[in-house]
Amino acid sequence: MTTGESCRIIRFDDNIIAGKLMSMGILPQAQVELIRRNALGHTFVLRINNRFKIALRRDEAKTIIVEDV
Amino acid sequence: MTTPGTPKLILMAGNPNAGKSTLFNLLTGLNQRVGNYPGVTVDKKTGTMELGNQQQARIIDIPGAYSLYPTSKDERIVVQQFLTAQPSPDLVLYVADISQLEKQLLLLTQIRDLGHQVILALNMADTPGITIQTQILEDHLKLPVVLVSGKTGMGIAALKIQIASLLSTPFKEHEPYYKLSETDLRISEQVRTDLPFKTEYGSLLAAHHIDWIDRIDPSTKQTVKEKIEKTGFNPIASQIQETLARYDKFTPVMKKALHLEAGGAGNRMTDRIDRWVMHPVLGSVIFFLIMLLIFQAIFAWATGPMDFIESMMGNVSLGVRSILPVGWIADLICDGLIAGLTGIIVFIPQIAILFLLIGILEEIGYMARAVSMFDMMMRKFGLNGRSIVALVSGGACAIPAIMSTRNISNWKERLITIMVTPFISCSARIPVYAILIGFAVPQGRIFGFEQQGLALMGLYGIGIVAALLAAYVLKKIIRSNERSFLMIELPVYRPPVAKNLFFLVLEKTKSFVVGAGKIILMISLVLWFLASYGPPNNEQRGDASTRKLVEIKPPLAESYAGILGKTIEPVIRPLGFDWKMGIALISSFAAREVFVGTMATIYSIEDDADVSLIRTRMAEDRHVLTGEPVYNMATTWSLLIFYAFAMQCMSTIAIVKRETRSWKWPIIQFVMMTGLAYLASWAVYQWLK
Repeated sequence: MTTGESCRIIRFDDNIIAGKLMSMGILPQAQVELIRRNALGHTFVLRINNRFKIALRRDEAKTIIVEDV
Repeated sequence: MTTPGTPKLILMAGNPNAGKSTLFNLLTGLNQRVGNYPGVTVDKKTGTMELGNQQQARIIDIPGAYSLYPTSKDERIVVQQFLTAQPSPDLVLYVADISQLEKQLLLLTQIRDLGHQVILALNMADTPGITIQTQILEDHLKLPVVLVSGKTGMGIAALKIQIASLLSTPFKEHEPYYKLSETDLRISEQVRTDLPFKTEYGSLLAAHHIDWIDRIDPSTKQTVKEKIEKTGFNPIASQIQETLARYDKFTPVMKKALHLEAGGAGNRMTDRIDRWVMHPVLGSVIFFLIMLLIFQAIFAWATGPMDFIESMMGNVSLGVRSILPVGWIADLICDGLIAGLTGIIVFIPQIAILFLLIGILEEIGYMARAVSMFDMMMRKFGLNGRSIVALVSGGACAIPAIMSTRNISNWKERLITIMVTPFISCSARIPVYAILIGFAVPQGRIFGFEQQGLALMGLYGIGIVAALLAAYVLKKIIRSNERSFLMIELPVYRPPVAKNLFFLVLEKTKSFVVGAGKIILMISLVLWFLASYGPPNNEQRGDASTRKLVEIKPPLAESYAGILGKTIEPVIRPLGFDWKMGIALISSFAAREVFVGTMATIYSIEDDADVSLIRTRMAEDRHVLTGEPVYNMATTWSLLIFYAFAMQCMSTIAIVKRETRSWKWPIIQFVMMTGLAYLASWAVYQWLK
């Protein structure tokens, strides 16, 4: 994903991270927008369903599988 | 007359950032206290709420959580509160931020399925651009919904009336919101025969969390575990399935009940601020400016009140002396007790200021951003994004800094932060550096910079390096199977609530005075005894028959502290220290700046504020045999390095004991810091000698 791009979540690769993300309201079918990368690309800021923002590490973000809308 | 039976118990729950504490403060006011959950350092906030008709209810504010599937030790509290804690609550007050309502229904429906009576308070209901039909929600969730605003107090009276009426009528359980899948149902029934939880969902959760759930005896645990293994239970799959099923059920209803204007005013403003604040370069600059401000504030604003406290306690001490007859009782009260109390109270201004500022950053929503920006850098050293706040505040004082690590939820990262923060040069080291640096570095300029200033900077620098190196080593040593996550929500910016800040500062100050005060007082009494008494010498013993009413205090050199200083001389000789410095090292354990006072006493200087006189006397001090100055460059540098690294602060030890809940870590910290100080000082002395 490039900054500013919007995608849809299909599934998650890591079950534990998936459990936590889903608890926070990030589910398959949700729309994600990559707002920015920080700390030399190690931290990602995502906007979910146009409603709220979340920051995660690159290896956490990598477990989110998305498709183009 | 009313008969006050056991007051009803209300648990307050909700997601992080839902505005729970604001509501808690509104409902309880000053009738609240902060305790601790056993085993972890999570604040347990309990309060009393007036319901009218002379009725009261007890409220416990549960830490914020997203679901009943915790990923850190601290979050487990939430599950234990709802599943196993006794007494079971009479009512659960669920607080949700109306603008993020949908994702907050997950935990709500989970709690409801444990068989608890729940009332939903929709906070921030006065946010513009939101319309809600509470009737639809009430019908769907089968629980009362109240609109409130923590900011204006709107709806609080109505909420209280609702709570009172719910508590006075018997609660009839509803059908569970989520119907367990067949496999889950089987697991739940298996668990149920051994652990009779109120609902099927309760037993399923017990199966998920059997490893750490409390109040269950080990043999039952073992039986249940074996049963679960036999059925081939896949906990993660079960959790994901449940989460999706719950969402599938409430999402369509939410679409009907709640109408949000896309990208409300708060959102747009937040984006505009984030463009600056989270910018890779500019964001860091802004962050360090804020940290500099905090540092400056603790440093500068606290000095006035601290001086005031010290002079006030000094006057109290003088007053007591004028009342009491001269003797050990007056000494004990003035030099032991009052000095110890001063050592506690004097930290209050720094603690209050730091937590006021941290509280503001947390309340407006900045802290989450700072954490995410520094997560990567800090993680390399086994620390957390939040650790940077502790490390910076440690430059003023390690005590509030260590207390600020409370909200690092990963235990290992929190522990490492606590362990290395005292390496950062705090304000108490400055008087020591100031008096010694002149002996180590001659005045003059190098490349246009004041040499002594550069040396001072270097001392700060090695503190930072030591902290980071120690963190790196501890990261490799300490084992932990707790996974570390960032995944942090960046909330919409909003103004801070003054009441919350007030309670935060009050609570932190109280927790320091109560939690660390006892230890500080005890150590200072021991130090007083060591410095004031010594073994009886012959002269006095022979005089025993004509002993005066007034006992003569032995000079410091002949006191137990002095003897101790001489005893350790062989140990500290390789560092270039003599017994006088030994005494100073021991007495400095009360606080590093005591070094100056001790030097004044040793060189018999009446006024320990006369620093230049102390320095002159120290400079005049010669070795008995060689006639060389005692404070030569090698010894002074060695001493400086020792003060930079060694753990010489009883208050820090007391607060580390409190924050880690054991003596193990402060002892390890003491050995680690003082050991490093010894080695480094030895190396420096041998090199410069």
